[in-house]
Amino acid sequence: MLGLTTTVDDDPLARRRRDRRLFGGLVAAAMLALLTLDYLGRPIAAVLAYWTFVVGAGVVMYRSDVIMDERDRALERVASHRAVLAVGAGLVVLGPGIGALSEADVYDAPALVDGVLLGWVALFAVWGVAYGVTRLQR
Amino acid sequence: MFGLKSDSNDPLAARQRSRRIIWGLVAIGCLAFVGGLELGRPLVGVGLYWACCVGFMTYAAVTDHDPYDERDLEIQAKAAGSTLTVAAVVLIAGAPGMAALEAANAYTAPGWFWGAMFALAGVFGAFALGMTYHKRRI
Amino acid sequence: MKNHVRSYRTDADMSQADLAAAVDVSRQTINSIERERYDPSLELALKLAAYFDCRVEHLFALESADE
Repeated sequence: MLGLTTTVDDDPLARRRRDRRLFGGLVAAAMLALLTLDYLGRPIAAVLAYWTFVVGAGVVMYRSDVIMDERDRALERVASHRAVLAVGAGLVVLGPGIGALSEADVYDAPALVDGVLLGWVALFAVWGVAYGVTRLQR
Repeated sequence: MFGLKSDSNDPLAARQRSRRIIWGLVAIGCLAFVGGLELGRPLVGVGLYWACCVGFMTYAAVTDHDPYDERDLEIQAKAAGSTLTVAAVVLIAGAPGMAALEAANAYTAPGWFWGAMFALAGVFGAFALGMTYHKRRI
Repeated sequence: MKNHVRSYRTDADMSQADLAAAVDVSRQTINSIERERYDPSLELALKLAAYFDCRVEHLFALESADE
C-alpha cells in the first residue's frame, strides 16, 4: 500500500548506515556526557556515563556484521600497522637517545617523558605477545 | 662444486639473508649502545646505535628481497590491530578514570602515568592519520 | 591487479550499490575494486565470480599477465 518493498533488516547497506550512525551517536554521547558532567563538577558521574556509552558503542561494533566490511577492516589493519611502526621508530630513536643524554648528565628527562617511553615500550610488548599468538594460530 | 645456490636463484634464501642482515644490524646497534653505557661513553654508544638504525632503514629501502612475505605482513598487521584494541581499552579506562579520581581528590597519579596516557593517545593520533591517508588511496 | 568488475556490472545493468548488497560489502568497496585501488580478498573475489557466473580469472588478473 505504501510502496515499501524492503525493511531496514533486509537491506544490508541500510543496516550498515543505521549501525554506523548508532555507533557514532554513542561515541558522541560519551564525549558529551564526559565533558558536560565534568564541567558541572561531577567527575565520577562523568566517567561512569562515558564508560556506559563507550561500552554501548563497543557492543554495537561487535554485534553488527555489516558495520565494517573487508575494505574497512583492511584499512584498519594497514593504519594500525603503520601506527605501531611509527611508535617503533619513535622508540628506537628517542629511547636510547634520552637514556644516553641522562647517563652523560646532559639532560634528565622529567617523569612525563619517562612515562611516554614506558607507554610505547608497553605497547610494543603487547604487540610482541599478539604477534606470537597470531603466528601460532596461522 | 659445493652445491650452493646463489640468492638470486633462491628467493627463500634471499629472504632469510635479508632478515639476518636487518636483525644483525639491530643487534650490533643494541650492543654498541649497551657497550657505550658500560664504558662510560653513552653518546658514542647511542651514535653508533643510530648509525645502525640508519643502516637498517637504508637496507630495508634498497633491498630487492623483502625480509617478510605477505603472510608475515598480514600477521604483523593483525597483531597491530589487536594491540591497538588493548591500547584503546587501557586509554578509555585509565585516562578518564584517573582524571576522575584526581578531581575527587581520591588519588594522585604519578607523573609517568600521564606520560603513558599521552603515549597511547599519540598512537591513536598516528592511527587516525594513517586511516585518513589510506582511505583516500584504497 | 587488474579487473573487469565494472564491465561485468554494467553489462548486468546494476549499480555499485546493488552489487555491493549482493556480495555483502559496502558500495565504497565495489568502487575501490573497480578503480583498481583495492584488491579484494580471495573470498570476495570468488563471491563476485560466482555472482557473475564466470571464472575468477576472467574477472581478475595480475597486471603482468594482463599485459
